[in-house]
Amino acid sequence: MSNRLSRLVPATAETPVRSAKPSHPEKHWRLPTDWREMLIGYGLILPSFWVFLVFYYGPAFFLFYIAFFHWNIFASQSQFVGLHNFAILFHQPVFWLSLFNTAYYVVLVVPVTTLLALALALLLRESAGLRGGGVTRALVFLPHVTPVVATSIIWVWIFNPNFGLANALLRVLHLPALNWLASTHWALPSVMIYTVWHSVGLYTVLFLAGLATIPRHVLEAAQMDGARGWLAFRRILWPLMGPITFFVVILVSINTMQTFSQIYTLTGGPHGGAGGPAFATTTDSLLIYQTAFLYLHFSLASAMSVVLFGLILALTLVQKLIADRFVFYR
Amino acid sequence: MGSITLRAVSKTFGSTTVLRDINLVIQEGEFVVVVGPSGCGKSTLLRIVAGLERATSGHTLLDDRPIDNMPPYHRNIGMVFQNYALYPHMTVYDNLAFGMSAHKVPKKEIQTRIGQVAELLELQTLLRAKPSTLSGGQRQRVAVGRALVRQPHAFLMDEPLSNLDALLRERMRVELRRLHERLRIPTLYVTHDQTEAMTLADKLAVMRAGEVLQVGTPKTVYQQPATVFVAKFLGSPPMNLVRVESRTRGAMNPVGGAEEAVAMPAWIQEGWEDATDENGTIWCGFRPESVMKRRGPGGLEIPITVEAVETLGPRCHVHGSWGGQPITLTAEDGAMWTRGAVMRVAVPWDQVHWFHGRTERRIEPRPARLETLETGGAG
Repeated sequence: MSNRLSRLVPATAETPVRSAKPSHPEKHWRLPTDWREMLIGYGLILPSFWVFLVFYYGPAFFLFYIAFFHWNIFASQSQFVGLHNFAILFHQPVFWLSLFNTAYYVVLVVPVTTLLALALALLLRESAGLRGGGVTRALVFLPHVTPVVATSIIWVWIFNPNFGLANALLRVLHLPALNWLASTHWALPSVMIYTVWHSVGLYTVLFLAGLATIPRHVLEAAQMDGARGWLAFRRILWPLMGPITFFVVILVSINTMQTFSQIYTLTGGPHGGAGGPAFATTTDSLLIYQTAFLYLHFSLASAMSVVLFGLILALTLVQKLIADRFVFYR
Repeated sequence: MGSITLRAVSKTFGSTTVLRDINLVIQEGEFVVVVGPSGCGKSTLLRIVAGLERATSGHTLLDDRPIDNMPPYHRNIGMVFQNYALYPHMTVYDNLAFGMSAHKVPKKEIQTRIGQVAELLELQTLLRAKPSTLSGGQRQRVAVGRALVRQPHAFLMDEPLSNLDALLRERMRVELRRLHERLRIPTLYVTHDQTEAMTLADKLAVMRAGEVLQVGTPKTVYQQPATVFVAKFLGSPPMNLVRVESRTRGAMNPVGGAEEAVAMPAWIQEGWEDATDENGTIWCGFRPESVMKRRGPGGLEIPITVEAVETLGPRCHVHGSWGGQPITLTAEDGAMWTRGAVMRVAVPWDQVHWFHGRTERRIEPRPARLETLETGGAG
């Protein structure tokens, strides 16, 4: 076995070992080397593969199954109903409302998060040599390492119409106070604000990593060529950041389309009423959760999940098509 | 067209001094090469002229106007980077056009100028290609073209040939020199390659550890190196440098050598005490090609023990020793040198170089020495 394992590290000691005992080749029948390596490889990933299969892919595939069945968690039998669940879904106004809310949420959060992260990354890069640069980086990233539920509860206080920080800020700016989470107009934007605050640090770090891969000399050459400011950014820096930008946009899109925890905590929490007021914050994933675990309509919730899956897939493919045209890979 | 002047330029990074009191002038139409081992600060010097780095003290002047506070994009200096630094997402045409469009040059003129530069550098067929599809030599030409097309006041080149293979490097070296003969744009060229330095330069500046040791034409620097370092750095094979001591008046030996003492010129003997280090030794140097097989009238006559002979076609390198110190000399006929034999050779006195034992600075015979004292220093 040690012989096998040694093949996994670059320096292989196999050849001398084999040549040391050339006798009885027929007694030691072995699988061809590539087969053995393949079996060892699969053997090594098997434990985690099982965990993934049972707790991750299993439920995911099961979801596709029950989306087409009339399925009850308490009943032993289920009945194939074809697209019936989808038909019910499409006749539910709240489903369409949730799709609209999700779109509204994604369309605002994705560009705002991406652009803010990009701006922060550029600022942090400029301040890299300055005193306190490291601390600033840490502070920008810090919100992302806090638990969503815990910080959401803090933000419930910030958004409190009577004594929250948000309205205090508006008063300082001589703007009218808002009802924030209690307002049908402002509840979803409040969630957006929280989400941007919580996630922008991660994408800033990703952008910083992307910026670091751009050769310094190319930027200096642009300086020597007389480019600076907006021109240097638009013609040199931005095109070279295409791949990382594309990656960040995809990641933000997928994450925002699946937003759940902060909506649940900010708008109702365990006491019920999440998604309110008046369904103003009921997005896809919240509706899926409520349909499945509040009303126990698992088939319906599964059908919704299938729709959401399709939407995310479609969006990613569209983004990929756009990226293939406009993103330059070195 | 213009000239570049560096006046008492120093640069420190934290507590490390990278450049110390650099004075250098690049006249109109001059090709100046800064040469030195890696880490001597030559690239930093170039970056200060470019404006990519700020000098800690001292001034940079372009056409006698100080440009210390001028950002690089206003200096109109063309720079060729070691790794070319082409814009990877742009075609060759756009690489060339970018600087001009940044300066709002009309489209028509951009086209004309790119046409001219493309013809000059034979880039016509490459204009639509992206840099990643080009060979090293082609990229190099594009990088030169990009610096050229903006009609800069001056050219900066940071080891532009070091990423090319030997054959191509030689060809591009000739091309660069030819280009300079045609355009006469003042150029500051940085390299660690002594062949590039010797062949390209109108004027050579040898640097070491943040200091310019000597400035002069390649010929002057080669024939009258100002220090032991310069003497060793230029020339292949390098100059033979032997520490000698004087046990009896008027004669000298290699340090520790048991051989008979050889005569030394009277002017060295006179100044001997002032030129030695604490052990009473000074440096005596001569180039491999200065060594003659036959004894001439006067000169340094030494016995050399032959240890190895390398034949390089038209000539050969003979490696041997004098009093235990390694000596290399070039000869035309390798067959004349037999391994193990002790051969007597001679070097004319005017081709023997003397350096101070402690300061390692060049010591000149009296008349020249007085001259340098009067003008206030060497170099």
